[in-house]
Amino acid sequence: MANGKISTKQLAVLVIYFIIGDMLLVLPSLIVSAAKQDAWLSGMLGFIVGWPVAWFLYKFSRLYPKLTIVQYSRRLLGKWLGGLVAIFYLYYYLTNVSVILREVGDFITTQFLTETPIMVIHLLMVILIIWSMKSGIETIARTGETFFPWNALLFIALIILLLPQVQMDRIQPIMTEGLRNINYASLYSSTFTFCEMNVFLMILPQVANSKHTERDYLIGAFLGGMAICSIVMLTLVVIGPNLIPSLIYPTYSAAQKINIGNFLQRVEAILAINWIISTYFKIILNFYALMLGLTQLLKLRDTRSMTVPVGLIAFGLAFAVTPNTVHFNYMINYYIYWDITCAIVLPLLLYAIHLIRKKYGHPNLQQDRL
Amino acid sequence: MIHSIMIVSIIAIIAAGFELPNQIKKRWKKEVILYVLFLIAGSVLSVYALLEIQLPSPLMIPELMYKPLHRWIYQS
Repeated sequence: MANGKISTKQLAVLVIYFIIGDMLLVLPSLIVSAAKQDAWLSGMLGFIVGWPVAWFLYKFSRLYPKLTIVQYSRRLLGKWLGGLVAIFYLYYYLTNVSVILREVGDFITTQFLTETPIMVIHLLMVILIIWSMKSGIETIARTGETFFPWNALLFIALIILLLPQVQMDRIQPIMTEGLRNINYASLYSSTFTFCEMNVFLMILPQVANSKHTERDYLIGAFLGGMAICSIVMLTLVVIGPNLIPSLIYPTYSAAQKINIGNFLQRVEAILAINWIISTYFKIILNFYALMLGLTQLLKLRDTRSMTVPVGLIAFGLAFAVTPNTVHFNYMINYYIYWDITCAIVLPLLLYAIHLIRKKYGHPNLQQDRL
Repeated sequence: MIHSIMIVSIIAIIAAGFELPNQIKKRWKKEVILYVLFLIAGSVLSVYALLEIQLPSPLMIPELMYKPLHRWIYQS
């Protein structure tokens, strides 16, 4: 079933990519429109709340270290109810894939290739996904490892080049928006980054055993969260809370403001490259989870056999997922609850059932641990 | 319209032509049936996408599920 093993170092890199993912460009706009100049507080609060969620997901996956969530939900809840939970997760992964595909398409057609139909971008991305899926998780993890130093370098270069544009008075007055708005905005930064990590419930069983797995995973989550916090802070102090809510890609606009001695200008393509690479990893990890779950749910004999049909479905849904940006921004509110359901509510329920069955169930359940 | 349908069906037939014979040879009956079903579903969705016809969004289900909760949180 498992077509490869990934090392803990590669896992940490994938975690960082997954957390940054599509949020590098999209998050500042969402979070600032809810919390105005206190968005940086929300970013930090989201990080403080979100990091324990990542830890919880890891601990939860260690209940049955060899099984993915599709397998142990069916083992704990039985064939039909467990299958329903599995289908819920698979639908979530499929929607994630198509939503992020659509984000890539929207970004490229509005900022770079304005005359190109959005379907062409989707098609290119889907071909890339099918190709990587056919190559297996090991190749994906190694790709991440190869790209990571470049990505980190470009990211740090972006932050350093933006420092001359910073005006700290843009985050004043502090705490005037009220705790309620700050809390609500912190939901964006914790759910879309850390709660979406429930994809790793499918991927952690593929990780080679090591005593450092937990440490490396948590370090990855920490670095990813720090990157998200710093990008929110940076966008806020460079552009300011009044202008950001009207921009779709505020980080991109911030990168356009880079100007070192009237010589080094318009290097926003750095950011676009970074964003597309990290978004690619978010899509491919969701897609891998989807394919692995589908294989385990339908008891197929090969993980990769269904790649092309599911890729076509994702291509179709990427267009169907939203008619326009306004509709999408409205739907994002419901996405929060969906993420929380998948990352916290359902795992906690499964954990409770695990405890009950461990206490009162027959002893066969014990043998499956490890 | 006819162009989109032709493009998608040619892609689907090429994909099936590359991947199905291998599975048929191994007599993986369930895999072949599911492959064809998913391929048809994917082709139909892709044709709709190429024709730019808006289908119901897959985000409709979370909307239905969480709308009451969202309203309740906003009212209090």
